[in-house]
Amino acid sequence: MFEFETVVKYLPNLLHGALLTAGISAGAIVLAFLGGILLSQMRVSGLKVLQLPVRAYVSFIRGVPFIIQLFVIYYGISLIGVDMPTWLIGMLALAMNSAAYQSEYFRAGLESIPPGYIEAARALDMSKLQILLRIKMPLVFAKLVPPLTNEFILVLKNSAIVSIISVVELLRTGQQIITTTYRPTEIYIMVAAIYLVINLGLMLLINLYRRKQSVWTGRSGGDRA
Amino acid sequence: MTIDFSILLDFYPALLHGLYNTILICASSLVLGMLLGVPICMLRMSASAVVRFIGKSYINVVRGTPFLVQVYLLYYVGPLYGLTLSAFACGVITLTIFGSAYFAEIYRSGVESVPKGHLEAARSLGMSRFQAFTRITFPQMMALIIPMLTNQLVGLVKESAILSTVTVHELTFAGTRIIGETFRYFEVYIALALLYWILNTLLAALADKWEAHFTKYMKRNKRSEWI
Repeated sequence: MFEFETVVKYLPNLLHGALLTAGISAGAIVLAFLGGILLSQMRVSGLKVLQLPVRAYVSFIRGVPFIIQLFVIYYGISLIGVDMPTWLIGMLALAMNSAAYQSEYFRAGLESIPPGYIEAARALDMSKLQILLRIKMPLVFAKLVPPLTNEFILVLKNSAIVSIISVVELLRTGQQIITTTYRPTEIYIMVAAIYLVINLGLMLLINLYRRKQSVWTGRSGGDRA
Repeated sequence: MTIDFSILLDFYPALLHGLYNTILICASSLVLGMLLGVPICMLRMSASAVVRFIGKSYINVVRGTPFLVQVYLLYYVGPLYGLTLSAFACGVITLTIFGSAYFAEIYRSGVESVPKGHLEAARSLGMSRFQAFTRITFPQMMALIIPMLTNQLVGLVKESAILSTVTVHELTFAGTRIIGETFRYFEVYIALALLYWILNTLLAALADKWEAHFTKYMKRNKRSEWI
């Protein structure tokens, strides 16, 4: 029943779709990384005017399904009258979603830095920007590699939803092949397998990093991904 | 096009009905998923490497593939093999399978968080394995895993919106139908977002109370330290 011919024949098309999936997700995660830093800086700024909007934003993103966020952005953009390719809208929606989560990671990371480090840096006459770039960010980032990779897995999985606004990524490519071949079994299993391989690869990277980090810090690594 | 939220007033019964179905689907798959998570966690923590591998594979496959793909697999591929389900049943089943993998991992992290010494002490006091679990491991792991369970529940509610793509009559689907009649995309999706947000925020608040109940003994212990 399982036709391997179909799988072999359409694998290049699916891999092409997977490339777009990976591209959109990678672009989204980079944008979200920058957005997350900005949001976390607003959140720890101590100014209510900056804190409240960030808190509302994070709460909104965390409390609303991604598919609804995507539609709000999709139709919101068309309401303003801006013409944007759908893949860019999908990427923006993924980035806006992930930025909220990443800002929370950064905040937790920033709060875990011993105040003595900052005082020492200030005593050495570093500017605020220098402290952020040379002290805070390297410390936070070393700690955040596993959760950020995990976040990449989440973004990859969410990116399948972007197919609904007709971005021809991995899942949509699969659906298009199904409409011509009518072999949903093979194609959907292949699509799932490709997502799985990418994500398992990322999980493996997290574990490798943890093991390496545990050598540096002497703490046990372990499989928590 | 102007934004006009007043059109929603005519459709609020449909939205409420969708909300009711969303809650029904999530509640059933929460219960079923938490139950299914138990045997999967047992597989995952088994002493036999083969059984452990099976448990781990199940968890990795479920957690490593998008929920939307899982839904499509069951809904479009299932009927080819005689597995014809109503959209509602398909939704509950996929959400249950999806949740069970996460619940299994949550249980595992809870069990592993309890120091081995506690269990050894209980066993050396003559408690059976079952007693040691219900009296020593379970109360301690609950305090730790309740926030994770809550997060997962909120996660289920959010994933359930995806079920609208296979015509499950939940909140998002109700919204899509209203859009079909009114073409008010933006207003309807904003209303949906608000409804989901309120639901999830309420769930999180309820869970906080529940957590307080399970961590009460910790606070008591803290006080007894002072006395």
